[in-house]
Amino acid sequence: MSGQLFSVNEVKEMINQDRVLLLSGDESQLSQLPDGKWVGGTIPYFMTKEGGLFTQDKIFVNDITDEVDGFEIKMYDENDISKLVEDSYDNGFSYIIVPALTPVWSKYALESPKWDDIYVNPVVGWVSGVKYEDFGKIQPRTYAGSTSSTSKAVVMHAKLPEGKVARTEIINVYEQGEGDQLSFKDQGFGDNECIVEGDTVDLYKYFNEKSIDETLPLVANYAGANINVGSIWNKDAGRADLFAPVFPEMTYKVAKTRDINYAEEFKEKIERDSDSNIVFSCNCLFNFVNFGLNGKNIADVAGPVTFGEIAYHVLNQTFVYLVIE
Amino acid sequence: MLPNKELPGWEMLVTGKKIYNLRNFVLQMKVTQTAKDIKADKITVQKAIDDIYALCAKYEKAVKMDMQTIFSDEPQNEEICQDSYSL
Repeated sequence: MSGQLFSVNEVKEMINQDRVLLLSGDESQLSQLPDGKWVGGTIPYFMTKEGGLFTQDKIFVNDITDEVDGFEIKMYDENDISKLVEDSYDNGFSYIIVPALTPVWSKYALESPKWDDIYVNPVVGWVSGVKYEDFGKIQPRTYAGSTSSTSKAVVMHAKLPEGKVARTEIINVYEQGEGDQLSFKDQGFGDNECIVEGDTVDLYKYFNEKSIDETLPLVANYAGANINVGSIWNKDAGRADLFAPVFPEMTYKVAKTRDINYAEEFKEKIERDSDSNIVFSCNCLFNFVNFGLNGKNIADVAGPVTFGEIAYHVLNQTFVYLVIE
Repeated sequence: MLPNKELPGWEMLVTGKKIYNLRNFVLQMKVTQTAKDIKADKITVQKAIDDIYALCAKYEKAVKMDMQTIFSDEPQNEEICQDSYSL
């Protein structure tokens, strides 16, 4: 499985050797790097073979030089992110990093499910963040080489050699519970309201009245794919703010439980791709915290631990990976 | 090789008339999208079948088990999930 942590000087050397790189790390590290064939995003949490960790002193590197036949790097804001699909190669994948809770993040989350041809080639990536305690004080960044932005998504459109194909997969340990079906009147981030048995209710009050565990996501069923919508509760304001969009055509249930042996569930689900060429993977910071992954090796997976994951669309509390075969 | 495009299973799949618990992620997402788009008259059933068929041809190896699920005659392969395809 691809990827590991390196020092700034080691990454500079790779860049100078013209390697094609997908990078993640703290701003203090990424901002030291020279221009080159790389894209990056800020985050200081990682999964490694030595276990999960927090570090602001290293950069995680996925070197895809030998996997691709060409690439193009673009930055998009909320006005042109819809061009992502038309800008991609006929046979390739698009690797995207979006800064958390920005207009381009919101636009991508809400609109990408409606784009024609979104599923023709994989779109895989993650939502950049910062040390959790600094969120709101320091802005997450994305990098197109040495050009960085707090407001733009960065995309590396990658072209695959003939005969190769890329696919993106997810691992979600959460399942729908047996409780109420929730729905939402409009697409969006819920605005702290939902519909339960025909009645519009305050989402935060509903969660508390039902004694729902704050860490459990809402889960929708997409033809067998369990797709999470996580929430962050603002107790002072009495709000449950959603970290992924909801759509009026879907119904949601609170996840069954967090009483899961994450390592076991994960190993079982990744078994089907245990021999596959996984060139990138990422996991959610909520999983890192809620399942105590700090210091734990989970099936030798390695990659950034992020403020959201992207497998065509913005996901929460999900492991995402890209296979080239 | 994929099942013949004329088989009724493809229409059942794209329209949501029969619900399958699929395994391949991109097929799950695409099927959800096409069922919604057909219901909204955004695309025809034939276009949806063409798109899904092309996707399955690209990922033939990865969707093999789903093809067996959809095109097998065994009743235990059908599963009704009322909160999916509720579009």
